[in-house]
Amino acid sequence: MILFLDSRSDSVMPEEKDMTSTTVLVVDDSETDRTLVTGLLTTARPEWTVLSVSAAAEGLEVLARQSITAVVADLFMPEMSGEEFLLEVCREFPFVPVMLITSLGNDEIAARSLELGAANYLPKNRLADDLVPAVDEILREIQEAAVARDVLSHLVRSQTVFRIDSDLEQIRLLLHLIRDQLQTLQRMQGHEVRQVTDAVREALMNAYTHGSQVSTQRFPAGSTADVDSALVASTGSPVIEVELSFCADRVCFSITDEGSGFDTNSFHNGVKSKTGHGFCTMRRHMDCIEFNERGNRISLTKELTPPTAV
Amino acid sequence: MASILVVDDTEAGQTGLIRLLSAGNTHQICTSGSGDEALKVITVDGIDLVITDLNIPNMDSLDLLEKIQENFPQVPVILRVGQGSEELAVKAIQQGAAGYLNKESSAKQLQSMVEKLLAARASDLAHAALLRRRERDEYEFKLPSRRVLMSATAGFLRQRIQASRICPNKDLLRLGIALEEALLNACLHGNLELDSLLREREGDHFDTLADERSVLPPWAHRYVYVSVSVTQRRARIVVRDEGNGFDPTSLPDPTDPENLLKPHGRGVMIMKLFLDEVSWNARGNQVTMVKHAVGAVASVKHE
Repeated sequence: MILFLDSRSDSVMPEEKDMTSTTVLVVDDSETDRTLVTGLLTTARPEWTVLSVSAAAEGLEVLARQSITAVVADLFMPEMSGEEFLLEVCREFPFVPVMLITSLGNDEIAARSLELGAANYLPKNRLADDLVPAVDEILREIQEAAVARDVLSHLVRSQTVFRIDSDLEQIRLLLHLIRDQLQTLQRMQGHEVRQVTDAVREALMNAYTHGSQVSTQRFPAGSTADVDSALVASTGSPVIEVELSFCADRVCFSITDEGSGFDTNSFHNGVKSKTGHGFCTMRRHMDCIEFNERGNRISLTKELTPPTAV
Repeated sequence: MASILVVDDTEAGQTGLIRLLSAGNTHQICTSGSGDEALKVITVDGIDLVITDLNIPNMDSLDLLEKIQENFPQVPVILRVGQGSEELAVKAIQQGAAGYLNKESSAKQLQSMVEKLLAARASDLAHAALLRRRERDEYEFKLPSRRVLMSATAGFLRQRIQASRICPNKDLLRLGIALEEALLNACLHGNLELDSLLREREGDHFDTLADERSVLPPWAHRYVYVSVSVTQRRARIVVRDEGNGFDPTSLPDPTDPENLLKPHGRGVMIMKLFLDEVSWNARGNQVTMVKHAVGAVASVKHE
């Protein structure tokens, strides 16, 4: 049974759909197996909508145009294999679990499928007994994950402070972590997360470059330099302090190095130096950029669009 | 150079694997003939990767996997089987094996798996080192009074505390349960004004009433406010509700084990058992809970 899909069904809000209905997509080039899997699912769970397609490429098209709760895909298919299909779904639709089924597998293939990110693996001779419970289990897990994401829509403020060494490897790891954290907030599109991460990378690289040029200048007591001398006091090697804060309508990064600072006018006047490109990136991707007087702290702010569904 | 532990009770199995492993990079390789011995070696010597045969004496290799997961979650385990099955492979990976190889797997497969897992472990360790550089991690939530959100928030708090490494993994589960109790108290007894004595009655009266009230005014307009602040020394969690508050001294004696089995007041007892400090404001609608990092209790007093 193949249902032809109406692309207009796209207009249904995904959140609404997730709460009320379950749509399982079956991808298998064998018509017999497709019929078997669809039949098992619709018989046991008549409330589910079950769609089926005969090729991986078609499956990806369906995923792109409509909200799918879970996918059951054959591992061995001509053209695009189940494994390639799995990797593509993991990349493009990370919240949609894929269960792989096959009649030609062995233990090593099973292990490999799961290592690659399949939600489960089932030999086809087990379908009659195990398919429905396995899909039930997957749905239970994604329901839990959906609630966990829902919690984050009620987050009103967060603040995380790191003090890392001025070290390229630590900067790289921190950027990974920042990207994950931004994704967790679910308030930005994927490309915005990348842009903001790029801007922060530039700011961190500046701190890395300038922070190693430790100042011999003295600062008057009571100024912001107190914070900075505290930074130096705690450890011998240069430290970069990174504060990531989020509140309802913005994310803000404040990055402080131990350097003597730089002339922030060069930034406002538009620079031609090597660092100019970095500043352009920051300016392009962030809504507000500020420096402290000394020029060793930069604050980057990105305004957020209000959440779509709470 | 990494340390790899080979768990196999046959000498042929051990030497075969050592030969395969030493063909690639230079790793330090130790061997154990049983699961118990393997656990001792991991504890004492610090191992980066374990390769275990399916059949080992004294302990099921999947039990060994589970014990390693529990006590050394960052040590990857590869399971090797002579005669495997798809079912076994799925079970092993779902239980947390980092890799699975059978008799037919080539030396190259083994070597590339080992190198891949060691690289992933190195990156995990670097990541953990970075997390130790986190000075402060704070979150504030404003939650509608829905039970399912309370459990999920407890899960989130547990993750943040786990990431901070202030308490051993084995304590996390109970800490999570205690936090969930605090949140449920705020939601059900605080905001929804449900008497826990209702629970001691027959039937599902309590649950029905909870669902009804969560959508009816005035209860529906009350929120649970949660703030968590995690430093390297402690986690501090404050949960506030918009109910009438309660008198914590009115609860059954928490030192009497009899009372642990009663639903009434049980949440508070669990909180007091699993957290280092639990206190309420005067009105009784806000609870503050503190968990100190292991070994940081003395120094934290000065904070």
